[in-house]
Amino acid sequence: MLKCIWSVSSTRALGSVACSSLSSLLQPHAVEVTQIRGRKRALKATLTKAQKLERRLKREEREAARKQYTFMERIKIRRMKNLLSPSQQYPGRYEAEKETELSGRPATNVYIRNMLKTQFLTVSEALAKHRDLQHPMIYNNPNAPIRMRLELNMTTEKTTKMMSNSDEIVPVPFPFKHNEKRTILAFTNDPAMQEAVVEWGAEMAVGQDVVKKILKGHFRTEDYDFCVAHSDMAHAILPLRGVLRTRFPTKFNGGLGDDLKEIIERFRSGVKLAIKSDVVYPIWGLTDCVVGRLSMADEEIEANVETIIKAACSHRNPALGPFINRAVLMTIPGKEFYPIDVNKWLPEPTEEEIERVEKRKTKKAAKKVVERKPSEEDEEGEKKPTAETAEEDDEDDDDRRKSVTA
Amino acid sequence: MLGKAVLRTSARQLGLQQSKRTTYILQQVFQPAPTPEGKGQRPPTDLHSLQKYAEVEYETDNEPPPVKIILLEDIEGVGNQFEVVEVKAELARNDLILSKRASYASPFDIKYYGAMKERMKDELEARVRIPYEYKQVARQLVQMVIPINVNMDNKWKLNKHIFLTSLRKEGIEISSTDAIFLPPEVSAIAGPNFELEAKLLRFYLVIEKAYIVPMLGRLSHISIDESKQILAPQLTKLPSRVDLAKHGLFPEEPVYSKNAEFDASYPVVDLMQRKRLEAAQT
Repeated sequence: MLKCIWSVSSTRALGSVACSSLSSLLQPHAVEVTQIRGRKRALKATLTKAQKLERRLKREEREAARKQYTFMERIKIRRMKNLLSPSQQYPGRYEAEKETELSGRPATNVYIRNMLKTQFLTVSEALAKHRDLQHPMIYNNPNAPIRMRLELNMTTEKTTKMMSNSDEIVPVPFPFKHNEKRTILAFTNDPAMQEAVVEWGAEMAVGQDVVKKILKGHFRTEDYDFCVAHSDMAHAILPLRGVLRTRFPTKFNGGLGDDLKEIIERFRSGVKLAIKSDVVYPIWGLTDCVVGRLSMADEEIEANVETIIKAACSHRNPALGPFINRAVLMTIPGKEFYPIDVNKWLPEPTEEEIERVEKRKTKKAAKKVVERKPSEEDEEGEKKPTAETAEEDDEDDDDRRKSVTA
Repeated sequence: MLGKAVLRTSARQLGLQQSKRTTYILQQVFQPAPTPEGKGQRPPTDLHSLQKYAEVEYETDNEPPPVKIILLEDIEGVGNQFEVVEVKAELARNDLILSKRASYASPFDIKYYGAMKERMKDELEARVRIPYEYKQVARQLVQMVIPINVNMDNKWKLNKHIFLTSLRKEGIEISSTDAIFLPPEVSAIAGPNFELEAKLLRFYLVIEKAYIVPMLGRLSHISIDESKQILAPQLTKLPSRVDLAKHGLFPEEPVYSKNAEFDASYPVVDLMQRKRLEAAQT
């Protein structure tokens, strides 16, 4: 670092310009150059172990956050953050805390919905209101598909971990025509079965020989929404776990079994339940599914709703609190929504599940105590804020002040 | 308004304005040793640290407890004249008591106004008092123009059911169609008839069989097919007297009956027509 101080010499130089001539400026003694060198040693200061660790942890955290989503997902998230989160988009997310001031029950026979707390209806009440609106004299769509939107709480036992997205087919007691195209890929070794499976509704049936092709990339599986497999192929398809990911047929998702006809039927007529976490607010989630049609009987739709809600709730420990924040019934197309009361279908937490949550809490509390103990001891060893220590403090302060003034 | 402001500023300049009370509860950061018996207390100026205080509570932030007052006149949402009610301290002190619409429920005042209430008993009973809940709902209802949704392909004839559904779509819930009253000229309208699109209609809602609220509807042909939607200009404000006259309508006021007699069989439409004529004559 080089710094030149011109002030003194330059005034002297100007004076010389005034009195004599410019030539004096050219003389070397007219300009005095002072150098102040900075301490380079400070730049080379080594990092302490704690600082290094801190930097490494930060870097790792950044990298982990980057790896969580793919490139396209990250771009999508960035775009979505500028917009409203999916949970906040119409019809929004129900927040009971915002309605504490409002009265719960209507005081008159005519009332305005916004002036009251959200009224949770029974399924048949909500359906009756939708049927009124879809009457031939109004919207004229008496066979409209009924959509159920579930607002979810995605927290888990771990505070930092949220529930992941999932896709599944829920077999419903009263199947209906959903007009969705579902392509199914069936794995079976028996050639006779392969023919039958296509007849039953699978898009394609393949045997053991195709597994290698899939692995090599000669056979694309992206075009198939679901995969089912006969039990005799259970071992053969194991290498495909990484390729098929969530579509990989297992007994848990109902894709693997002996009766392929029943499995395919279930996949074709069941309700698609996709739980998606909110990208902007990861503690929230959403799922949209079609539960029936308006022309169906109330009991049938109610039974379907019950099955779907039970299937959705099985994803999360009920001891953590309600998984479903609010369930609303809508029609496709249509903007009207009616919240329904689903509390009676929510699962009761078993003792085991409650224990699991509490264990975690006690574990954490114990950890905190252990962490705190040594530090507390240190503090106690150091000082206690009393008048005596205060006096000492004051004396120290005075000394310091004196040294500063000196 | 200006006078008030001038008065306030001059009062401030003269130092006459009431000072605002602020109360902090503080705690010493360093507790001094207890004073030995027979000795004087150690002055806090003795040590610098003894003058260090931490805030425990800022009392001004706490909401004061509710105040019991006697109302000296009917006040909406609070109560009727001579009623003893508990209200928020802020409302009582800054509004009701200052404007002499209420007084503190002191034993003397309770006795004094109790006697006055007895004296004015007949007058108070004869007074027409519209319940606050009815007024609250009606005030919002008269500010709305309800789109009356009818299908643009299928045949329809206006009925109470269509009105009920249209009201529900706008966020107004009605327990049954008995609370809706349609004039005969409205219930005669049938369609689809695109000449009637955006026509203003008058209908009535009756709150608890006691309070008739005149409402405005606007015919709107709709379809499930979005490509078929009719784009009629939205109403940004309530139609004026001139706008109403174009559709053969007049401004009307809500009507209240103490006896809650406006049931489904009551000729509500005729009553409102009579009231309108009376108003026109006066």
